[in-house]
Amino acid sequence: MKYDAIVVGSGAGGGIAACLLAEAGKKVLVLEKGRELGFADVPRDHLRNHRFAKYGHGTGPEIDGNPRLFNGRQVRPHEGGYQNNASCVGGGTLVYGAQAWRFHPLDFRMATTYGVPDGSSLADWPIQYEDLERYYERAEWEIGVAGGEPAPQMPPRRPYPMPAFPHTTKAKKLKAGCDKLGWTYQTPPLLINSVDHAGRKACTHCQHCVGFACPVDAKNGTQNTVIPRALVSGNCVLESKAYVTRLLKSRGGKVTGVSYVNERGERCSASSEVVVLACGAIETARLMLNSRLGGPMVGTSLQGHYYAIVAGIMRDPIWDGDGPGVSISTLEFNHGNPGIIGGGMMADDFITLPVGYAMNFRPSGVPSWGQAHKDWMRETYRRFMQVGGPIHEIPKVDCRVNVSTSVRDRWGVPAASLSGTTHPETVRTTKFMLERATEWLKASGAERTYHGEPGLHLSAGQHQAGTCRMGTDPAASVVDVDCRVHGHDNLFIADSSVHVTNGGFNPVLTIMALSFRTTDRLIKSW
Amino acid sequence: MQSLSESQVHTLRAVVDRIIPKDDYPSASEAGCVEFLLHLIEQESLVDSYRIGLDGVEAYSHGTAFADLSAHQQDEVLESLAKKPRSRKFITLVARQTMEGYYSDPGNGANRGGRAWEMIGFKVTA
Ligand SMILES: Cc1cc2nc3c(=O)[nH]c(=O)nc-3n(C[C@H](O)[C@H](O)[C@H](O)COP(=O)(O)OP(=O)(O)OC[C@H]3O[C@@H](n4cnc5c(N)ncnc54)[C@H](O)[C@@H]3O)c2cc1C
Repeated sequence: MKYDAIVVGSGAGGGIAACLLAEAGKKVLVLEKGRELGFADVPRDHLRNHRFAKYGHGTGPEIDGNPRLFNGRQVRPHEGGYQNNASCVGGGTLVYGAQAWRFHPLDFRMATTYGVPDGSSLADWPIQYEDLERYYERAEWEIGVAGGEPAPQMPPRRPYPMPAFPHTTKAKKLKAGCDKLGWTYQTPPLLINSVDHAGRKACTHCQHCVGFACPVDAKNGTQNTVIPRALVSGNCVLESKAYVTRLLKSRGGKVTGVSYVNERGERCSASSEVVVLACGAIETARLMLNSRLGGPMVGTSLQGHYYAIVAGIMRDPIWDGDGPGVSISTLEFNHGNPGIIGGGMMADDFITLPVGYAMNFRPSGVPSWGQAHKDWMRETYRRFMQVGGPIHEIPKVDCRVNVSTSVRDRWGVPAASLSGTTHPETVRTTKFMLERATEWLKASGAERTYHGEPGLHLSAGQHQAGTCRMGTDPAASVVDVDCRVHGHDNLFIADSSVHVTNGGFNPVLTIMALSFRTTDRLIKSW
Repeated sequence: MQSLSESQVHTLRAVVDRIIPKDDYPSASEAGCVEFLLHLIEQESLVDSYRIGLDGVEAYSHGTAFADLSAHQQDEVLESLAKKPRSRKFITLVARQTMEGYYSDPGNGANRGGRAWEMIGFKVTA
């Protein structure tokens, strides 16, 4: 049978595209490489999750048979350098932390605001905040955000459907710090039910939020919102464990469908009027490259976020176990920092699990083993907090996804090969933000603060973006302002690949808003 | 099925108990770290690294079994090995993996009764 649309990938972007198309009466096939997973399938294993993935990560991609190359070295999904995100129905939204930030209006105009640093591919978006505004609102209401008033640095907006989570003990300390410094603050918006909502329960404030599936299904991803809506419409077929290996083209070069491996391991194909790609920034670029589509810019300007994270040890215990745990933020430093390009949102963090604290936050002077290490764990775990946040990355063309000529996955498809290092300006902004985070902790009563020193490396990871950027010039971009691939009137991209820059915020609400917009415009022009 | 010899396991037990010694809370071996490590190193194909590393610990114990040295002497042996280019990697590895077991969820087997969490004040409420 021929579908109206095939959506490849069911994460943040794909789930929304599938829902809108199906509700508009289009016959939709969603092909998702991962499985359908719930709380019972994603164990609370502290050594195998998307925050501490030493020996696995609890979701797809499966550890064996899905290699990538990182600077020429072959890596598996849970290993450093892979730039992993969850592969399952819902993609990253099953296990994410669910911070639901809109980008700042200036995030769409970085080149105009700051100029283009030598060697960077910094550019303005071809659309502006105003173009996304009503789609941000749809994402906030249709996926479900809890939060309070907008930050004073942001334009006014409709209130969220759910009230903000209350401040935790550590947030109260940080609030006092803000007051001392004269900084504004707010509760970070979360795609989590603060009260019963949409037929599902309120959050139970457990300690295993980010990196895990929710025990009461209070975390709103595409798997429990728009994907069920798509299925209820009767117009959508969802095939999980269905891995798209290549796009099919007619002799004239028109995209006609996809080739894929189904749940039973059989090679099959499906055809459609329209194909929407939403595999995440690395896999979408890989699929485009393996299908020889999209031109020379495909795969370039891969970016994510540097994080400026500072650890603080308070005088008294502040650990209250009140999850999700991220509870206060400031937007004082997203823009307008003297001599600095961009900046970023700063917040406290989700609950740090003990093993993460033991392995990642040992300050200098504390030995890595022995009684002194044990004493340090015992004396400081409940007094520890971290603040920091994502830095607006300054992209470079040569940070990129290629396809390997030698390494293939278990289905024989050339693996993604990742290389490049970020622009030095990203590091300079990160250093500036480390100072601000230190200032915040000190003003909040930290008796000791410490952090690592940022160097040049590739950043993509869970916030990967940018590999099929949006633009009006086909020589400098991959998709147009409607996220349609230049030169292919029936091929669309609805994930983080199209981001021109990745904002000074966690990206998912922007991915969602863009998918709402892209799909809305596709339906209207159909 | 044990992947290390009995005497290597004996050495391992003494090593992990210096990485996380006993005080009013369990030592690493009391918490289950030895069994955890035996399972983990099999899974991660690290048996040979451990075999060689543990033999290195014995070779450096000057004729006395490492387990029979005083705690202070054991620390000296491990600290010296941690400074030598050839053995540094193993000491770092065994220290790291012992910590990973001790402070992770009891389901992994090396935080029996959740005592490590009780010690630092981490609680699971829901
Ligand atoms: C632990 C964690 C915490 C996070 N916290 C936050 C947060 O607090 N706030 C925030 O904004 N963001 C957060 N993120 C990031 C967020 O999840 C991602 O930005 C978002 O999911 C990306 O959306 P996407 O649609 O681009 O891709 P994804 O959500 O990654 O979806 C892509 C899907 O495509 C599938 N796929 C890939 N290739 C193929 C193929 N060839 N055939 C078929 N299917 C394919 C994959 O299996 C996957 O399910 C977090 C991520 C993680 C892992």
